[in-house]
Amino acid sequence: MSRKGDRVYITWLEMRKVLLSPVFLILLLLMIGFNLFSIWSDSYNREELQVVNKIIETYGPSFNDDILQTMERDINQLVIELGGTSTQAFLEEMTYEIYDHASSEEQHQIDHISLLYTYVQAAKELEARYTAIDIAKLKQDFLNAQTMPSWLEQKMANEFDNWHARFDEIVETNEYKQWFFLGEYGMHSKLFRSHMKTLAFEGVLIIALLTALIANYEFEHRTQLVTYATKKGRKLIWYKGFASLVCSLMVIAVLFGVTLGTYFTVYDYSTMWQIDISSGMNWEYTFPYITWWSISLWQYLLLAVVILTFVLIIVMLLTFTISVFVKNSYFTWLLSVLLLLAMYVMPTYFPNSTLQWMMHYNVTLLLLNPHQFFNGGTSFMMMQYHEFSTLLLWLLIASAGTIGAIRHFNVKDVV
Amino acid sequence: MRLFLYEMKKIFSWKLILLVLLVNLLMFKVLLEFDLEYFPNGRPAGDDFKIEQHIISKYGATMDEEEFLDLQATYEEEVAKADAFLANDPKAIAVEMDSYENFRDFDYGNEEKMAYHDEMFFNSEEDFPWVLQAYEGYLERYQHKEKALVANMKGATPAQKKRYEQLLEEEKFAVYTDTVTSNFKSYKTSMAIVIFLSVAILISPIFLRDVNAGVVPLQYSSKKGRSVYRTKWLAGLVSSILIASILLILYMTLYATNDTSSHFDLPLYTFGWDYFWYDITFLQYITLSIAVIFGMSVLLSILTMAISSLVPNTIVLIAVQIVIMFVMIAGGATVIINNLINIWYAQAFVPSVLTIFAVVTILVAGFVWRREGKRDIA
Repeated sequence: MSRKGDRVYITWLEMRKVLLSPVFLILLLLMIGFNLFSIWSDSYNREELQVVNKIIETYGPSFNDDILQTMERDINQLVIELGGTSTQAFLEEMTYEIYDHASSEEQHQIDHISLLYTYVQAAKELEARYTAIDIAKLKQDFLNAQTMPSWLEQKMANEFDNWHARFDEIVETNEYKQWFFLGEYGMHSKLFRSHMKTLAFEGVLIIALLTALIANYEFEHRTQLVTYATKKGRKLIWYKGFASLVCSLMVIAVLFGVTLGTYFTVYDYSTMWQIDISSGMNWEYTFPYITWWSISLWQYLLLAVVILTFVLIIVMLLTFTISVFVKNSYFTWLLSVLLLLAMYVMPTYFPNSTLQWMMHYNVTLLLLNPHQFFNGGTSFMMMQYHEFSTLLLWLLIASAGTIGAIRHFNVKDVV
Repeated sequence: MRLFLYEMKKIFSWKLILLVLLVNLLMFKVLLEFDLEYFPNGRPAGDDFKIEQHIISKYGATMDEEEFLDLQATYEEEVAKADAFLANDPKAIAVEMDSYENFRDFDYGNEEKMAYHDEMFFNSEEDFPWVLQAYEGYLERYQHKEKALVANMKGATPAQKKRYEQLLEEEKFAVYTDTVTSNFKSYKTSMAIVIFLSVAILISPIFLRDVNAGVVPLQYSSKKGRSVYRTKWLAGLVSSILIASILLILYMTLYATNDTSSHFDLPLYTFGWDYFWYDITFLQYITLSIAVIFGMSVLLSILTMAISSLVPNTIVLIAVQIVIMFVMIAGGATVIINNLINIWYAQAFVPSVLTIFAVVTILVAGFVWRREGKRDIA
């Protein structure tokens, strides 16, 4: 057997420990089952959401006054077909009794008209609502609320100025006038807050577990004296690391792939991939999503998956580091999950703003807030490049930890 | 006995104690702290709580016509104070809100009035807008006491309807707000989550520890033999009782800082919003909640011990516990503990779930006990 074949074979043997143990398969299936159940169980409005696709197909992805006027005329045409005169009066007079007496086809048509009308109204009101956002005031409130050292204050003021410029750009280029599911449906939150966050959680639990299994395997099965004394010996730790990485990626692919695949079969996003996340229609809470760049839905989805994948790789590396020192998978797993929890809790223990700012570079925040990626806003987390800095910082920390751990492993007693 | 103590020592190893401590520190910050630090949570909850602490001693669980008139008199005194303030506030006079009546029933379309109204509510040192609103709540609740029950009957199941009718018939009406009870509901749910996690972390390795160390064949072939299993099991049970008690005492001591003892003797129906199947007092409700959390923790530890002896290795142990913990948190704590005797769930629901949980646990544990007696140890 060639040396390269050797390497692949040993890595495969390490991976087998995960891939052929039924416990991972069962856990993965349970998690996927849970995800699919939660997608299906609240998909009651999927038909209603289709209307956006129809709007985009007919009128294009973005809107302006002309298009809205055309739409109003078209809606009015539909109303006239049903024997009404003006759209508003038609919908206001639509009582439950009248609706109930209409044929099912007519009912369908009425629903369609009412939905279209809602979207057009929201679109018409958007400009006034959107331009009323006062970034300068948000900046002032933020700076007033915190006591910061002057360099940090300057830095945050700059952040806000840049964000303000970006906001002006969105307004100027009409980037916010794009169709998206109405904010009331909370579709952005549903996808990126509920489902993506759940996926990230599940990923952490299962990846920490499989890494703990592979890394501690020899110690837990009392084979360390044999395996680490062979010719390959302690180099095996590299194969273990690599096998953990490949297994983690496989888990991510299956978990994310099946869940998101199902999500996009249940909900029809077919015309929406090019729509920007910063669309003003995508306005769920106090503010819309004012992103630092113009990012379309498919780019955002891809980037979110990539970011979470990197976070999960960081989790894998940290677990691997812990396992070399702890040598016990029970403690390894608990400690790495608790480490992530601690990252989330720690900032609340420190009222000092500089420490607060530093602690916002933490991977747990990325795990918990996929819906806020690339968003500007009123917290330390909303800084430009926050995601990249956090990933870079923690990749460095985790890699340094792993290399340190392997070096330590090369010289320590294996007993 | 000596063996028993040795086993206890193994369970309470310093590493595990540190881990459980860490879990409690972190989870306290995430879950429990909020309901202690922010109780009562802002306004009007804070005003309600203050007023209730004051009037409960006067009126007790029910309110009669005389007490209502007394409350109204107190309210009118406060209104007089507000009137005096508004009549002398130039800003109020400018927007024609020179009496409390004008302040309360104003024209919402008028922007200047709206601005002054908001200013008084959110940016002023004056308490009267909130305090009076709270008082009005109590007065209205008394005046519409039947209505709340009748409104709840709509869409209720026959059993729920019967309960509402019973309350109506026995004139058991809501007098106060649910500020105190909803806070406790949230607190006990968090408490249950933290305690379940602590018990699971402490007990999970109990049997696997010796299997991994390879000492089980030695233990089982010793003079004491397989009864070692029973000793370990008992040590596990006692440990879980110990940890659950310690944490319950700790967290209930912290809860005492919320200072809700004024409400202890009130029956649950006086709190409104939530209705319950039984007419126990708030203190009895607290005791019941603690007892159920304790019972579920002990059952969880028995289940955990069974799992610990069934699983082949730590990885499977953790995987099984992930699933069990999900069920215990999403089902056990947030459904069962949170809604113990709440009317939203059928009267028999919570007792049945608890019974099933107990029966399944005991069956699994019994199976594992018998299996342990005769399985091959090689």
